[in-house]
Amino acid sequence: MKYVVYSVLLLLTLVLQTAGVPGLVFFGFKPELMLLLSLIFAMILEPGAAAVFGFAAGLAQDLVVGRFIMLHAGVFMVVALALGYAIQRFYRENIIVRFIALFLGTGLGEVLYLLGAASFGLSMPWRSSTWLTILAVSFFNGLVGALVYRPLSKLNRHLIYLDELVKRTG
Amino acid sequence: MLEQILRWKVPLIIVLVVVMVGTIHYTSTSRLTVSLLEGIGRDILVPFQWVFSRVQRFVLNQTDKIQTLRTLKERNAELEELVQSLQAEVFELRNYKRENEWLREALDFKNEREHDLLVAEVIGRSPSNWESTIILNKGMAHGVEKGMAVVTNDGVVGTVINVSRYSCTVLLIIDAQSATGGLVQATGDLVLVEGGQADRETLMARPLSRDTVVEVGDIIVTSGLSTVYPKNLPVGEVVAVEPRDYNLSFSAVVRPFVDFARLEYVLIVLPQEQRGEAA
Repeated sequence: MKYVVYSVLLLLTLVLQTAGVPGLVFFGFKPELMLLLSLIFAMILEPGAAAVFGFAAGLAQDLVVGRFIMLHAGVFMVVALALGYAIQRFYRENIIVRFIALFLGTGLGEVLYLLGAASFGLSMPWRSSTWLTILAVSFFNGLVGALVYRPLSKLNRHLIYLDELVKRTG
Repeated sequence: MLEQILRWKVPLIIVLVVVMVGTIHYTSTSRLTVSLLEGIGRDILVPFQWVFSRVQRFVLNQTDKIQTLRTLKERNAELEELVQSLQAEVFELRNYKRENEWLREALDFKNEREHDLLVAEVIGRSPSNWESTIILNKGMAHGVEKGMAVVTNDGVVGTVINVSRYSCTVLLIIDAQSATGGLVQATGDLVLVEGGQADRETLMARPLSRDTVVEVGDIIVTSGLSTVYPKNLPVGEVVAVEPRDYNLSFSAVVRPFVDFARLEYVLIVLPQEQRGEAA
């Protein structure tokens, strides 16, 4: 049950992220919704499961982009795993902790992606606009993610309960 | 059990890393076709993206309509004035048309069209901030191939970089990986028009010879030297000229005629023989 819901969530997020006209653009930048979803689930799930979730989200995004396939998958997996372990040391129910975790996670993810792409030939200069975009995306993800965490966490608990119920009742 | 898993963990991670690096390397360069998995993935997304872009367009249109209603009276008066001036212009153009037809006949002019166009709808955009691509609802099933040019009535949009059965991805000319052969319309000098500007809205034109002269207000069109774009398609207008290399050279900032943020429909340039199949 939960895997079906996770897949639907990923699909919907990907469709929202790649929306046609004029696209999901705020002040000239696109929020990284797939990365945001991976990071939120990194705070909800166990680190191992979060890494798998991040890998799936990144791979789905890679298949749409069609370039550097597995780069998003690898980056999302690493960042989700890192956040999954790091957040265990903090009180994630605190909204400020969540904001900082998502802000840093998104920033790290974006920098890792650009470094990875640059090492495979993407000529993206490190200008102030690049850093500004990373900052803006991180801020957006931190803000939105800190608010969306609760409902998604509740949904996940409900899914675990349903799965357990199905398992026990057969 | 735990020991067994741990024993396999390190080799598993090594295999995973090797596979990932190999795949990234393989897909970092231009490919003729997309893989089966990519094709299936993209074609599954097409109907969802189509529905979502329609909903989004409907909402935007309604918002526009509400805003338009506010200024309707003023616009009506303006448009009436415009109609009057256009009527005079149409009359003049009819005269030119008649004259043109007469001259064509006199010169035995052959009006041959080298390319045909296929209308496609923009159903998606790149999910990342670091690529400027759009997804169209036309693919191999409609005769679209990698490398085809994509244009609008305003000018050049980009080139098809990969195609699945029912969709294709277009690399916009504003992308960092894009380079187009251009021509300064006023002088005929060749320039190289590149994307990847910081604002992701403008282009950079670099001269291909020392004698090239570019001024603010010049129009850049496609040179037609490559096999991708037909000749003389409008690219953009020069809005600034910046000196480079201790004033020995320069680069021109070009504002494209196409508004990439508001692309809804585009035209894929097909070779003539393919148009029939696509229809």
